[in-house]
Amino acid sequence: MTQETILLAFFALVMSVGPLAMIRRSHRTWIALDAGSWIAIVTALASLHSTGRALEPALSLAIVMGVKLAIFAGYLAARREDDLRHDSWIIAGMVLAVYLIAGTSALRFAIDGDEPYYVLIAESLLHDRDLDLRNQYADPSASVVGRADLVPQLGDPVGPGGEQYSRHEPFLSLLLVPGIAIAGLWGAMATIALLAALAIRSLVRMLVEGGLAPVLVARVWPLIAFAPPMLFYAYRIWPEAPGALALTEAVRNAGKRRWGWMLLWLAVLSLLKIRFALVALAMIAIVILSVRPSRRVVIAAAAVALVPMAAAWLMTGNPLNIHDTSELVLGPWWKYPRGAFGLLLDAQTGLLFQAPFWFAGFLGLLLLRKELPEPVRWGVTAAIPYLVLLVPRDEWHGGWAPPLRYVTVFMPLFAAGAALLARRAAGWIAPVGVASLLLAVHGLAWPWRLFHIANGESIAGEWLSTRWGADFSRLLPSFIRLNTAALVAATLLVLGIVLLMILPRLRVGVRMPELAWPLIVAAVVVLGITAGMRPGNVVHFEDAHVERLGGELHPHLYQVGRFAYTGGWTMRAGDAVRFRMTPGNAVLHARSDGGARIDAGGAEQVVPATAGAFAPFRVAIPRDRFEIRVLEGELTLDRIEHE
Amino acid sequence: MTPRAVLEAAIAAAVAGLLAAFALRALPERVPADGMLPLFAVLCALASARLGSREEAEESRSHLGLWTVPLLLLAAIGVPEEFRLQAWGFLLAAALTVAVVSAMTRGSLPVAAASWLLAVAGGVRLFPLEPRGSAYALLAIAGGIGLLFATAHHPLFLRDPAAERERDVGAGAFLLALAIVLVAPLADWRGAVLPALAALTVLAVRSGRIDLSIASILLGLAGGFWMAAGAAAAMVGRIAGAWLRPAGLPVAVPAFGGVTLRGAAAALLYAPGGSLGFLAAPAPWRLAAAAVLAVSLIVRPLPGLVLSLVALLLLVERPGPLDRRFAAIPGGFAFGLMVMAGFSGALAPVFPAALPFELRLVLTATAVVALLVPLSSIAALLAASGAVVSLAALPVPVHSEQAGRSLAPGDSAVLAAPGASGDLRLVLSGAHVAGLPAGTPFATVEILNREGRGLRRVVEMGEVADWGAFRSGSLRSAVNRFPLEPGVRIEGIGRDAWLRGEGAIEVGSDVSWLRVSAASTLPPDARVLVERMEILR
Repeated sequence: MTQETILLAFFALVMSVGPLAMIRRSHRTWIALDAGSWIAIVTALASLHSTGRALEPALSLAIVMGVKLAIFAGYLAARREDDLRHDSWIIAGMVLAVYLIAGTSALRFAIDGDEPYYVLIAESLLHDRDLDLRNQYADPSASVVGRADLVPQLGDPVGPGGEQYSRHEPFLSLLLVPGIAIAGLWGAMATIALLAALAIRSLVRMLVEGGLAPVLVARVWPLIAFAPPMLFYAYRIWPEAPGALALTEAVRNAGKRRWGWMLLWLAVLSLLKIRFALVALAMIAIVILSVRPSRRVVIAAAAVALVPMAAAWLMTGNPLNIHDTSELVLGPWWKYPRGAFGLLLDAQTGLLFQAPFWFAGFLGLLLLRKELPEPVRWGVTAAIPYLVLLVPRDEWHGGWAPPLRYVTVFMPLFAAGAALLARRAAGWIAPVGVASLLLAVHGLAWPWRLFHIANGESIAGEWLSTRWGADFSRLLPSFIRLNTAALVAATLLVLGIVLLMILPRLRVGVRMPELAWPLIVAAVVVLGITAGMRPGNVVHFEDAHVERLGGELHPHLYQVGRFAYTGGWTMRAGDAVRFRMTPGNAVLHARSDGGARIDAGGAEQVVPATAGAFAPFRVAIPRDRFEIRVLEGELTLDRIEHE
Repeated sequence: MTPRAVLEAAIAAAVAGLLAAFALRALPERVPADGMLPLFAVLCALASARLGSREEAEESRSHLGLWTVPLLLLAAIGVPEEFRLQAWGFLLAAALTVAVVSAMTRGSLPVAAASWLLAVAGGVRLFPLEPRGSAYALLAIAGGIGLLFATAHHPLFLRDPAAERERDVGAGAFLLALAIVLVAPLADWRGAVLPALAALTVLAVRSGRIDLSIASILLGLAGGFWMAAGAAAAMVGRIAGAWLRPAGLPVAVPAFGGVTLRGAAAALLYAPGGSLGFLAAPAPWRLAAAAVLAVSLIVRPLPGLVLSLVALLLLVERPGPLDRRFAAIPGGFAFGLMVMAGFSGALAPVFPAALPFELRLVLTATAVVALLVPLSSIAALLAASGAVVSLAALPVPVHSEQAGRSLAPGDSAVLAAPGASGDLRLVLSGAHVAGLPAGTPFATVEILNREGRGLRRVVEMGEVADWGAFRSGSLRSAVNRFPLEPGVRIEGIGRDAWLRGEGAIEVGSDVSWLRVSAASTLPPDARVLVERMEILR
């Protein structure tokens, strides 16, 4: 029996029992739905099997999980209030089970990004009772991480005696210690899953206590719990899911005026990651200014604010850990809209494409801000300084991590926004739910694809470009490598928000026939296909649609902070690239340290040495299929674009 | 449907078809299956037409099915060729399921709505588009609609036989018509008139006295010898009168060759007091018969599809209005049938055996549950059986290695087993063996495992078949039975699709070497084709 079969059996059990425990009366409806969906799933998978196209077990498991969870979300959304049994522990239990299944499946691949470092710190705490990781790096085989390639990260602090510390705060690792002691890496994953499930439990309680109808809450929590980004961080060893728990509890306790608990959770939030301290400090300041609590609370708040910095100072000698105050200085103006719109609309890392339910939550927070419960409003305001500092950074997109890493902590706020939007109109939930389902299935089946180099291409764009040898990526908005689609998307978003704000005041009703919308979307898809198949005006040589005969990626795939470099393709004598581009005069941006000779579409050209920098060269493109071949020397191509 | 609804549907279908055609034009590389895109888009649009008043359509959300049109277009560029036709099949199935469920949420299925849905579902059989085949497809659809009209007036299919002005079609009757239209062999006119024949039969036996044998007659037309024999016996038994009923089952089992499981199952199906008369039979009989039925279905490739139909008939064809909660059952069944729409021709020649083992299990569970338990608790058992069966259905990765040997009678070939670990199975087929009956010795497989032990296994016709025996053109000339454990490889598309007559022979794990020898008793021009070796992990 394979691991996937065991996980599927466990999942079947969870899906049979869990939903039944959450409702009071309509058990038979769920049983019929459960049965019907199992039969449909088995029929569908068996039909693939019968045509000799067996799916990978992990993909089958992901599809089954995605479909069943979507059906469950739809079923729960259709219940009436008196049919719902809002026991948050039952919800947490079911969510935990799903996270454990997803996490166990994901553990078939090595953990990545910052994850192994948190585990190394935990192992050091467990076995050595210190934070010095020298022996962990020296003997990777002794670690449960299972990676022999680990070296200290760029900028990791080094102690006076040569101690090798990690840049990551050790509080999360401390939480992982019992799990690792009991069950190794799986235990670490299970610890995060437990904290994430508790975050969902807190969310449910926060929303109900905030005055939202249980029916509404039942529509929201499954799409937060079982959709990205929460689903992807719920079993990954990053501080994002525990941070979401801490913020949710802080907001919830603020709403109940339990200041001590609020401060405790804000302290936890700050200890998890020093960047979260910005949110905690802002929240404390807002609460003090808004409700003017007693002096004792203010003193406690000051202590809480200082705890993480004191801890960082004790460990590294710097109260901001590896950060410094220069990061608080405002950056160039254009970086703000780029990062802000990028977080919303970027196809690779933005809410709209990677977490559409959260995008709806953003719209809810923006358009219905006056209806927000007071503590959520405090949370939203407290998030602003963090976001203002985040968006101008070059790493606004989260770097080498699953998408939306830096905003996952705001889970309760987006959920509250989505709930408010759902209260106004529910028609958007189903399509957004289906889109979330597809994203969930994708991430569960191929977890490594969630780690993507920040080159401006999304998974979807890359896939289409590779399949058809055409630049489909340019049709999807990218704020990492700013393109026209991004400008169009940002403009449309602004216009859309303005319209949504103005229309209700003008009392203008716009009603389209129901049959028209799908056909309009179909027409847009056809336009997209037609436009995507046409050659573009700019070609980046690391893009998926370029056919490369030899050469290598520049800089290499695992270059730390790769997004800070001008990416490209390095070629030597004999190597070539083929691509499609609109004919005409173009400029080739290339770099060659010793000069090179190339054959550009049949015309021989000499590229002089560029002294380590990219320089423009004129090239004529006679037809829409073009080849550049290196005849002599070495050069790195960045892009080619029309004059 | 109102004229306005027809106009809306026509416009939506035209726009969907045009958009699909435009999308196809933009794509440089096309495979023949891509030609189905406009047809699928049109059918999805037609399935989304509103079948009642505007208010009813809004309440039932039938328009949601139209969202499958943009999804079809996205699948056209996003899904690889090898999965594309099935992805479209899923979407078409989804559109039809939405339509079926939304049409039934009112508790009944009017004849007009059922006819519309049947015509839309049957539309997939127009592909590949060529005059003669399309004419056959239209003939089958017309026959299917005729069947709906016939059943709408028949006591068996009336929701309330006492009502004089009943004009609704029962869900079971709709599913029966749908299945017949979708599996009717369209190689020539004889297959195409099958639904019409079924409709005529229903009309001819309107008395109500031979009610439950109608389904068996229809299925007998599509099935093999035992089916036809069973149907005939059932007719005789019913017409002879009710006195046969109490003793029907014990008499029928030996009469149908009860020593074989197939014969026993045929008896269970058709004998008076058998499965179609189950509801009237005493409980111990029901229990015993269902147990035999379950065993026979699992161990032999018996008509799982037929039985599932019967089970569903028994589930939903009760006097009184249809329970709304069970609208999903016919919807789910329609989904199951339509998923393979792009390969609609493959099923008829091997009907009803061409079902994967897992699906047979599901259908068996469904049938047994349907026969044994009352409607009120069926959902719970379905859920449990579905969940359990799904564990067996999770596809396992198959490491496949082509062998590509052709052996004349008496020849042999030695094959080294692939290095991958797991259960090894050898996929064989034959050439020029379409006329050999089941049980004829075909080949011998000698197995040497890694411990040095040898095994010998004789392969007979029935375990494998002629590679082309199940092409629609060979439907009447080949006598091969579809293999018990088929290799299952579909060739072709649309109604021209067919399943290769490959059979999978389990040879165990830890195999080192294999020797395959063609039986020397085969006809001189016959060949044993060693297709490939597969490792199941």
